[in-house]
Amino acid sequence: MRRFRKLCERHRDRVYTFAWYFLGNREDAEDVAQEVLIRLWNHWQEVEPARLPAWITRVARNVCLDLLRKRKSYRAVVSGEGDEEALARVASRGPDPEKLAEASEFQRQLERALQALPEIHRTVVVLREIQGLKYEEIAESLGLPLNTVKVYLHRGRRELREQLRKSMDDE
Amino acid sequence: MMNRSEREFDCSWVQVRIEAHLDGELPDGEANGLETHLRECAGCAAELELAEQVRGGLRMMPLLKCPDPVVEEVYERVRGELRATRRRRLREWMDSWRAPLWRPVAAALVVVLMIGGAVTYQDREPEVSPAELARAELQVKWTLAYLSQMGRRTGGRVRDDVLWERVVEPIQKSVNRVMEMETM
Repeated sequence: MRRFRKLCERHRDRVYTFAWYFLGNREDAEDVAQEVLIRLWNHWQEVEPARLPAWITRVARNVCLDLLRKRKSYRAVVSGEGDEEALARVASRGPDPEKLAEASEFQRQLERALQALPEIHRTVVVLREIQGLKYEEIAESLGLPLNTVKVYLHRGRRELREQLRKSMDDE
Repeated sequence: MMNRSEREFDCSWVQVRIEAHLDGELPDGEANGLETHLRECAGCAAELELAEQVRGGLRMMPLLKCPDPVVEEVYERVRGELRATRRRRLREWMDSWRAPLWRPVAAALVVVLMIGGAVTYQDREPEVSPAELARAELQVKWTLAYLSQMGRRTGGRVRDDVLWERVVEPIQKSVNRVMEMETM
């Protein structure tokens, strides 16, 4: 139990941060963090310690996807329609009002745009740019080749740029 | 008319490479060409600026702290699971004493021995010679005679020890005493 608590303390914020930026709201992020830590309890002895961070990231992403599937908004988010409907649906869940108030307008737009990215691009952008993981760590977590991770990252940022430019033009 | 180099480094070519350029991942030749294009193209330069803003904005997003109650709830669930596991193990241990293993094992052993014995001895005839039979008969007769003799001796001893000492002798003594008193 003591070792498990140590693991929880080490990884809790990382899981929560990922879930928050992936799903865009606090309640869901809390549910995901709990579920991931419970799964960690059930499996931590089976996972090689060196591979634990990648395992946790993979589980966190899977739990997020499960949550989206349950909501039946999975298809729209994963396919990355990027259309107004998908963006509006995601934006309606919105991030924390408190946090939003603190964020600059640009940051707020960026967060919204992030929610509208195709799932895999969003995952890579969050892991790399927000959480600061190395390409190798992301590749291991997602089971993707290194170059594919880079391609997804660049596509994700380009899509963010396009969305932001579009919203700036609208204003 | 544009030369080969100018055609290569046009706006659409630059647009898809801005992110890689930002991360310093373009080969030197491509990076130089892209920078040359950016110096001459205000639109692409603005795109590069926006790309920098996006990357900078993402990197400024704070890492969030998972609220304590979330983790405490996990710990509580885990403690509950541990308690349930301990209770289950204790119950299983007690059950193992209630229905011990040796009973079915012993029953199986008895059955095996019975079947084995029946199979081994079922066809065997007793092998006794006439001489052995005659000797056994003689032994039985001697035994019976001995027992009969023993019975007679025992009977005589009972008569001497019990009847004479405990009954006849005391009566005789008291009769003698009475007769002595009358003669006085």
